Amino acid sequence: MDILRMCIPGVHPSTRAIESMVHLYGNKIYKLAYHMTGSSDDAEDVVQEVFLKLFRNWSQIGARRNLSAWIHRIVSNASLDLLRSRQARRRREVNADSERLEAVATGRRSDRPEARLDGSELNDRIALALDALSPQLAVALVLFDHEGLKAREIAGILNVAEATVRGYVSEARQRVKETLTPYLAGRTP
Amino acid sequence: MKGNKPFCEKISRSFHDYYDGELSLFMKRVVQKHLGACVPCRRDYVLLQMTIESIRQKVAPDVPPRLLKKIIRQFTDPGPGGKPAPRELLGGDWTDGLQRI
Repeated sequence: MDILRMCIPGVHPSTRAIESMVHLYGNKIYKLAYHMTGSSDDAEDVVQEVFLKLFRNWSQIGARRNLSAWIHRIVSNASLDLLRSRQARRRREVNADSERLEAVATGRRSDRPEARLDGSELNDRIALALDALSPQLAVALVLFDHEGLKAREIAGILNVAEATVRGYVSEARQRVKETLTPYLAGRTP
Repeated sequence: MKGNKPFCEKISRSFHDYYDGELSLFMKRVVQKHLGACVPCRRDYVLLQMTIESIRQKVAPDVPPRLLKKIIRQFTDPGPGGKPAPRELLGGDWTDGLQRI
């Protein structure tokens, strides 16, 4: 179905268009936001915000050549906002934060239900490692390694230079690698 | 083979670009040759590869169906019982006839 054909300038979305968009993109947006924020509650907030923006800008959606790129941008910005506010909140919660960092350092399993997602220890550790990254690094890493976007596309989303994106991705990978090394070292061929 | 630290450090800075296929042919060959000869760097590169592949394979749960239902309801319900109507939520004028696209 060509969703963009449902978008007519100056006209609000029909019930059918709303249902189609939510079913077509809801899961994708949720998973992307989940990877970026590492939290199901935050991912739900992002999904709601994205659809609100999508339907508010409905009349302009049809003019967009690449809806997927627009969605990546909106999800990234919403996730960055959430991660930044979470980071600021954490600065005030020093005790809880040091406990989490200790968990990353010692490889102890997280108490967060999200981190026990599929019972896989590796998934837990990646979630914790991503959680310890700065918002920009986490979002750049997910867009590059998980979503397969080019550094140029991410630069446009984050409003930074392409070289900066490559720097973010390298730094983020390196930090995740440091966290995973004790676990992965035993699996190297 | 034991690594040559300054050279190893220089080469390891190219690992990300090497993995992403962003190096020039010349640099690609330099890295390949070094990886073939230096055990610590090879180990380091394998760990980087495993890290990136683990990130790529990380799974996320599916969106809860109740959330999708809630969003659809939020934007389509006319709003009895104090719920916001779509026109209030979305702003602007609604042309009911044109809504049925």
